Amino acid sequence: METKEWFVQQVKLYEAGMYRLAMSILYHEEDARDAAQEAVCIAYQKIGMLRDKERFRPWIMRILANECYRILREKKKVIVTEDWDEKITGTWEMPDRQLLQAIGKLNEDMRAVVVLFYYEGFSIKEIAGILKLSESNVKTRMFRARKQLKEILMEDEE
Amino acid sequence: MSDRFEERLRKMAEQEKNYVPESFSSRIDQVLEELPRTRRKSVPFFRTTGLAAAAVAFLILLPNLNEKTAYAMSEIPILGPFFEAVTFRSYEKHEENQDISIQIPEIVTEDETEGIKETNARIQGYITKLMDEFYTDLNANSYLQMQVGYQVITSTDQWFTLDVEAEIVMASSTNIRKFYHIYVPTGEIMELSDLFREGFDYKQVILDEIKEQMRENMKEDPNISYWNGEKDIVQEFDLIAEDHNFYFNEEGKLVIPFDDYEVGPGSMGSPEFILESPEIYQNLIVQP
Repeated sequence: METKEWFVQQVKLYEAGMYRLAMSILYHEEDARDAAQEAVCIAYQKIGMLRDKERFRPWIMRILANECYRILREKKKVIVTEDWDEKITGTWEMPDRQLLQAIGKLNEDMRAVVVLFYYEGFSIKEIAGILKLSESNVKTRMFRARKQLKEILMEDEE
Repeated sequence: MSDRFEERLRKMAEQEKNYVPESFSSRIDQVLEELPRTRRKSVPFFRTTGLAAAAVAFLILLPNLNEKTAYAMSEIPILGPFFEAVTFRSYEKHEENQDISIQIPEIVTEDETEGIKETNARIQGYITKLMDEFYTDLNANSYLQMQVGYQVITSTDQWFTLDVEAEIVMASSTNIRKFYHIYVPTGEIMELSDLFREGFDYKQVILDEIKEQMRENMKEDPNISYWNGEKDIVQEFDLIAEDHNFYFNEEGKLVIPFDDYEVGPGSMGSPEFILESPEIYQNLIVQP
């Protein structure tokens, strides 16, 4: 299979995960699209550096996270948690989006960690690599996030 | 936290995981559609090709051509007739606890100057040092990954900049970059200290501007932080070294990059500062 064909297949396979990661960091649909576009271009340019094709998913996620942080820095955004709800209220088409909405209410530093753990199934070590955090930092964020999620989901049910 | 709650979170995630908005998906489709079939490094100030010469050099240096080196060959940057970067040597090792992929570049030109010989020696020495450190760390860690690649940042009839980029994954991932510059008319190595008129205190002027940009960035965005916070952001990098990393961007502006964790937490990535101070440009004696 040619490199481009293989690359296209891989990106399409993981685009839903890319969307969630970009949104969890940027909280903004248009910025998420911009970050993903840039990440795909960078990944294609640097694909020669990826020797183990099995590691494509964490690799492109790391590139995407870098791009998201770059956009955050450049645009100097002040993120408010309400944005997430507004965005997904307007565009979310699935009937059950309870967890994503709850994640949207978490502090910014916890959202990406939770998305990568529960939706993408990455290990603590892999998440640390993708977000450039220490493993203990990821564990701390996960612990705090679980606690908050429980409270948020219970509130929603009441 | 109960296993029941954990199980519930996993189930909810599983039910929601296939969703991707049409607007996002179609943007990805568009980008993928527009990717060139043959990949090419993005090189500012791009000029005519020298692929044949680069390919020959590569084959001579790496006679044991196998599938991997053949693949690496497609990575040879296509550059102008004066200076080229080719892969001098490749290392690959993929074992249970280590994953290494290294391309050592070499700058080649028709008339090799002492400056170019010296630069190539520095590049090889630098990557060898990175590898030595990697193997030292390997003894103390269960899994390590290291990738080294390169790209040409600038190639004009005045200036040539090669960026050697290393990514090392231990507990977390670290990106390290090292830039090598050649003044094309003389073939001499150039460092930050060579760019300015004598007597100009470039270190202080650059440091002052970066500090000012950092303060502004932090003031405008609560997500941005540098080591030591707003009060004393310079403690960790009090001096700009004579050989500090730099490059010229496509607009000819001087850019000062920092590696991961050098001036801020991991979430800051590898910060770069584009210098705007007119004083700096008035005192520049070389430009790309």
